[in-house]
Amino acid sequence: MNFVLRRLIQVPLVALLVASLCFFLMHILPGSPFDRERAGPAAAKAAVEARYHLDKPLPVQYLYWLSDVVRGDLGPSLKYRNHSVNDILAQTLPVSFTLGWLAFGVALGVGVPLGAWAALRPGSWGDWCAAFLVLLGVCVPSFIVGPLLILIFSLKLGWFPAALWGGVSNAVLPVTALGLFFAARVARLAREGITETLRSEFIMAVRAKGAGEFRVLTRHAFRTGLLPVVSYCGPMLADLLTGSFVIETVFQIPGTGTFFINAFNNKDYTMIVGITLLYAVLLLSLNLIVDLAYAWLDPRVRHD
Amino acid sequence: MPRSWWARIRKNPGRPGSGWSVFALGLLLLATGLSGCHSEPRADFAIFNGNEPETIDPQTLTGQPDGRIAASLFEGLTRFNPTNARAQPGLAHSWTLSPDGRTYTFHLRTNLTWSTGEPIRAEDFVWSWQRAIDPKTGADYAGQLFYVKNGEAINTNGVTDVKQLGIRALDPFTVQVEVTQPTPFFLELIASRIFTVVPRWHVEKYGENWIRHGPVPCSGAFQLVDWRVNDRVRVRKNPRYWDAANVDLETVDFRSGDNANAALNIYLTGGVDCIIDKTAMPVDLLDELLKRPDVQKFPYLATYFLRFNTTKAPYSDPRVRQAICLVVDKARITARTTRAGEIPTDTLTPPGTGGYQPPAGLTRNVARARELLAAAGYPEGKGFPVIEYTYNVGTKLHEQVAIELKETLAAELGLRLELHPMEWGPYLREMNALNFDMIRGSWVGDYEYPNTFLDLFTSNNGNNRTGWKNPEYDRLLGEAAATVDTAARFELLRRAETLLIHDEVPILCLHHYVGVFAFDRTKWTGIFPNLIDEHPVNAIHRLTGAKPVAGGEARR
Repeated sequence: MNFVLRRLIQVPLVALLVASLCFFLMHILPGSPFDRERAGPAAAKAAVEARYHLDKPLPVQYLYWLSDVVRGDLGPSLKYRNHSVNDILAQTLPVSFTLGWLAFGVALGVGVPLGAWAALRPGSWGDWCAAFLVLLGVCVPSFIVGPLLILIFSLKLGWFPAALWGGVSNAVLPVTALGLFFAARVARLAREGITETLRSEFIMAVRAKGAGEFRVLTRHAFRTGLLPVVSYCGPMLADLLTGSFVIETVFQIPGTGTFFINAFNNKDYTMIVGITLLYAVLLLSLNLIVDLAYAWLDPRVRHD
Repeated sequence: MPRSWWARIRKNPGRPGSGWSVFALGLLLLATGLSGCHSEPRADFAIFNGNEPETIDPQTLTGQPDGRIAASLFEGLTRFNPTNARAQPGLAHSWTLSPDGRTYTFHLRTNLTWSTGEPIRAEDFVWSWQRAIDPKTGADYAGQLFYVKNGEAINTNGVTDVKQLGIRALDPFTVQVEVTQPTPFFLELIASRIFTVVPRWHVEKYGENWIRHGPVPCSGAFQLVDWRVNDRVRVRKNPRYWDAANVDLETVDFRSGDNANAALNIYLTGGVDCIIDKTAMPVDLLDELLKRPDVQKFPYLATYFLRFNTTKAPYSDPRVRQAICLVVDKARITARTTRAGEIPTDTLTPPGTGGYQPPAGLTRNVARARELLAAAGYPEGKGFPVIEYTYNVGTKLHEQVAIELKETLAAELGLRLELHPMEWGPYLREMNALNFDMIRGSWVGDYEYPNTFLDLFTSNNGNNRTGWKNPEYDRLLGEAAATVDTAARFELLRRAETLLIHDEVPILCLHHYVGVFAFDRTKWTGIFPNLIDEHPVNAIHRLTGAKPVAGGEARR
């Protein structure tokens, strides 16, 4: 319990530290977010910079930012001037979450059974086929899988929309493209974990005690063998939920990933720092959950 | 073993830790995820509008996609004719110009109301223009109001009272505007976004983000419904618009996105009815796409050019600049690299801009280039430093142009060009700091008159960015501005442009852009090619029962 409490307090502190570091790093970069190809009047730029406190010394800017952040306000976007960062996140995160959540389902739903299936018949042609599929899934990047799916299932067959976000049919192709990549990694981890466990001494001991094969697998082999998958679930979920830049760009999906990447090019300080803070909180929380799940699954790593 | 394993696991699903339970969890995720997908009815007309707008406040926006949306929501004294982008009566039904060409008197329609029902009066125009010029507003395009009396002085803080701006309400339906000098393109100028009328009480109540507090009182043909970031802005017909009877579309979606391939896919599968932004067309496919009957290109008031850093040797020597200009094969670049039918050019101003014909520039002449380079002290390029060429990444096009330049300069003059690709921000910074030898540049005209290009290279223009200062050039432009007679004015502008593109060449002009749009001409009408790429949405009409026009049915 103590451990959980300690970790819970750590999450916001570490996240704030990360975001603060990001804040200063971003401001070290030269240039202003209001540099434009066609230079407007100097007065215009000065007025806008003053509005966002960019004319003040950096420590003062930091205090402005900090006082807003502790009140839950990530500030205005410097690029999309009619929106606050909160506003943009409120609109785009549900989209990225939905996409990521569905892809997470595909990753586990396809990856775990495939990995387990392969692990139970090591060296067979089925294992080789699975290994080949997995290799393909890991190696072919989503910016190839995405357009390929569009070409076949949208432009040629006309089954699903080519892009945009909205109905369930819009989600099919991007979720598949995003999910399969992770499914391949999950399958690999699952296969290796289960194979390894089946070879271990305690499984032999369980079998020697006369346990049925089903019990051996479900109560012992899978439980331990899937631990690598469980530990991978934390970063994978964080990765998926925060939005995939490539998939969002290929399918023109209004998620958070696009904003995160573009904010760097736009020097949209508030957006970068805001999303970094959010990602940090998400990653730390998910890691915490994974640690707790670990304790539940594996008696050897119980904490107080 | 495996078979019995399967048989048994089917009988006992849901045990914690089993693969089956993880699989079930996956299905659960799928179900909860799918509940996050909602579809909505499509708008009457959906436009792929290019990049996500930064703001749609007509007085602070800069981007073309931003401007298209704002133009559907707010109107000024004049508005653009959709066919040729000339000014036609907007909220003012008529106007008179004083004999000295310096005072305009506009007569407003008497039935004008905001979309929320309040009346629109002359005072609203005065306040809107004052807001635009006020340095506190931070309008990047405030320079467009420098043609109005005291505009420049107010914006650069010389005059602190915005009421000094040369616009007055003579009565509720009459607006008087004083300009600093006769401005032949003034009526077109004031049809653009920054001169539109915005609701004072609403702006004052909500401040900078007034556009996000609905219902927004609109003065244009449409009113704002909602704005989903990086997805779409939806507008609905404004029934109180003075010309509502001629607005055919009930709802319009402006789709945003920066991926041209996705835009094309969406268009080809019917997700949008029209691609209106050139950046939303994949460059690699342009020559193929232009063969389609629904894709059309047209001359566009924009020029691709390169800047020399004239403050740095050896580029401070006009002979060196001329030599480099004389060897570049512009026709080859447009044919091999840009491939959308761009027009190779030796001039900055596109031919025919507002009736103006630019003078002759430097046409390709390799022998003469070698002579000039030798005369400057670098026979066959010997002793010439490596040229650092800076360009922005993000589109492959600029890199391909850079490679063409590199090859040509090496082959013809024995010069070495080193490529410096940069992100947008650093690229702008290097350009402003004159930290380059040669740098990529381009300019899009704001209004159809040569000054929109030629003014750039006056000594103190913030967009000059070459370090080139020429008193004679400044004097000629000044004299032209004070000349009322068009022929005499154009002659002065031609003399100035000759200095710029023939004698001194601080820039190397490559080509004039073309605009491209795509829509099915058997179903829609009202989008016309014009030099400033201006396509008012209120003019778009559905063709009902119309037979296919020339070009036939567009292929899916």
